[in-house]
Amino acid sequence: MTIEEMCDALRAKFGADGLTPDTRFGDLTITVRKDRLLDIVATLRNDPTLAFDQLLDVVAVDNLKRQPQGTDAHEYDEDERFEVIYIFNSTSHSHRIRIKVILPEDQPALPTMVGLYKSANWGEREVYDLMGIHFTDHPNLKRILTHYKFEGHALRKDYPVDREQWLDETEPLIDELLLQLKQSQVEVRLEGP
Amino acid sequence: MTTSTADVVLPPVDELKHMTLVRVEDDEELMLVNLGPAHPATHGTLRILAALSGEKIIASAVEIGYLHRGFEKMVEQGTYMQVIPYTDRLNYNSALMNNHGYCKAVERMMEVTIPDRARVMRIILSEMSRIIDHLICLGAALVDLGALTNFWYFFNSREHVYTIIEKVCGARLTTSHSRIGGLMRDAYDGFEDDVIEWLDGMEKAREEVLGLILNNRIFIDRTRGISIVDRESALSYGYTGPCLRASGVAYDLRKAQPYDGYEAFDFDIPIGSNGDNYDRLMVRFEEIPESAKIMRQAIDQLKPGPIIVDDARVRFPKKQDVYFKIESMVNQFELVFKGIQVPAGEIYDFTEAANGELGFYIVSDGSGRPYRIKVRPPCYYIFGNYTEMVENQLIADAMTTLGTVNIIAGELDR
Repeated sequence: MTIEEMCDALRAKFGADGLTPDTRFGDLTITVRKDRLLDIVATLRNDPTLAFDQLLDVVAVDNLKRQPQGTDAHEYDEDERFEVIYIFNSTSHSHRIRIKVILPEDQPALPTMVGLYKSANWGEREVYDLMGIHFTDHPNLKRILTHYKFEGHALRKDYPVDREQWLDETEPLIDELLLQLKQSQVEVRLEGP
Repeated sequence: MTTSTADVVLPPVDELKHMTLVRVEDDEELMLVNLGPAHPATHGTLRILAALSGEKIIASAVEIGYLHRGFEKMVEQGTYMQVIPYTDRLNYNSALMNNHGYCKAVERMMEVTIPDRARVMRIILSEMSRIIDHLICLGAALVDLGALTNFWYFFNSREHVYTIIEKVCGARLTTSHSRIGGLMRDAYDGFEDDVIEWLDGMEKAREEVLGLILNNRIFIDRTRGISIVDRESALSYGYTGPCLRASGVAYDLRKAQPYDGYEAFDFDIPIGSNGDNYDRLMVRFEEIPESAKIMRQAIDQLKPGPIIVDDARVRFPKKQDVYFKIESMVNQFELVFKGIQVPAGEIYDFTEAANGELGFYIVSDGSGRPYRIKVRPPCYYIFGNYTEMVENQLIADAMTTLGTVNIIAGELDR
């Protein structure tokens, strides 16, 4: 399916309103509204002509200091502080799409995609850890790459690159273990000394 | 701030240390074992907390990030060219492939077509890296099973490659060999013969190892049917590369979405049928001769010619011109201080690295410094499935599983 056909198929399903396609560098990126995200992604996955069976990555971009130069000059304000980009791939049709959601500076949050793609679990955890974007209903929204007592979100543009934090406590990790036990339906109890 | 996960209220850590975990069903005390972060079998710095009943893992939790060096933060500080040495440190077993993947992404943004010789050289070196990555993965996975001899056969061959790589670019592990628009340095005289000689030796080593393990009862019993990942969950977890193919999905980016002219080469994609540890290892074994096939064809295609595109936007001018021509001097100065001027926009570009799809999401604001670079390391998403893979398996097999999925802490934690 070519990029134009994919755009047309999505427009036919969801209407042109709130779907902004971008085909720069020959890749298709569609910017969608936050409230329609899960709906559109479910269609991308389940429609046999689209069949996006893999969520390859979740990327977050902080637009705080972004001032594009050249033809597409654009000012980013507080309502466009963050962008979250989901990269999808279809192994059966060998085509790709990116879905972008723009989030405001104040309490950025998105619904989780774990119910649709299992790779969203770690992908969203990373975005939460490094950019501080919340994913509602995520089963285990914890920090993943930085220490569990790390303060701030390292990839935000207002996090100074030379800020150091001394963190040497080992994470107990028992809460995650209990979660795993609960998921595999093994009932356990903690007994004191 | 940390979000509490399970809806259980945990006692403070000091008390927790002295508490025991008891399974309600049969009042059995589950033994908690910490593997890592410096356990030899983790091949890096990972931590796995497992709750055991006898030797069986009932549940486990993993902690990563011990090797997090802030790759994505650091690359925002320099120019596009200064990113290349950082990419060496992602998957350090096949650094050349990371260099190529990154340069390819920037070249697509710049709309630069690299010269034919550079393209074919990249294919030869990438396939060479794929083979040595598989060799180290297989060798180490077999060591985890107690088979040390194979490791020496493979490392002997790997050592030979490092000699070739050192002659090509001057470094063994941290190669930084690609440049945006081509390569740093051309191959030396006799490169082709060295590669062919190595390929012959490597294929012999592979045969020898296969001879040792194919009919080996211990190897088969300990890998077949262990840690099965079915097709659906492999796709859903975002598996790519050999691990996806072991689960029966015939998907290889070199065939499915070809780049760098891979469509002109004759090679096959080996796939597995069960998605167990045996398949994951065997897919890698079978990929080695396919890569060798590509390399032999590419060596025949290697014709003399330039190795970097003649485009003043990306390549450094000749040293001679820098000293005697004002335009070239300005060009050199601008490239070093301002960096390559990449047009504003966003791109996601991918290559089939040894472990799977290595992707770079690059955001440019039109200046000489990348605004944001996000790496999609293949083993990050594979490792996301690890707790599920080792559930109800023996603890000794959990270590083999870790070896077969080839977790490289450098790209996992970045």
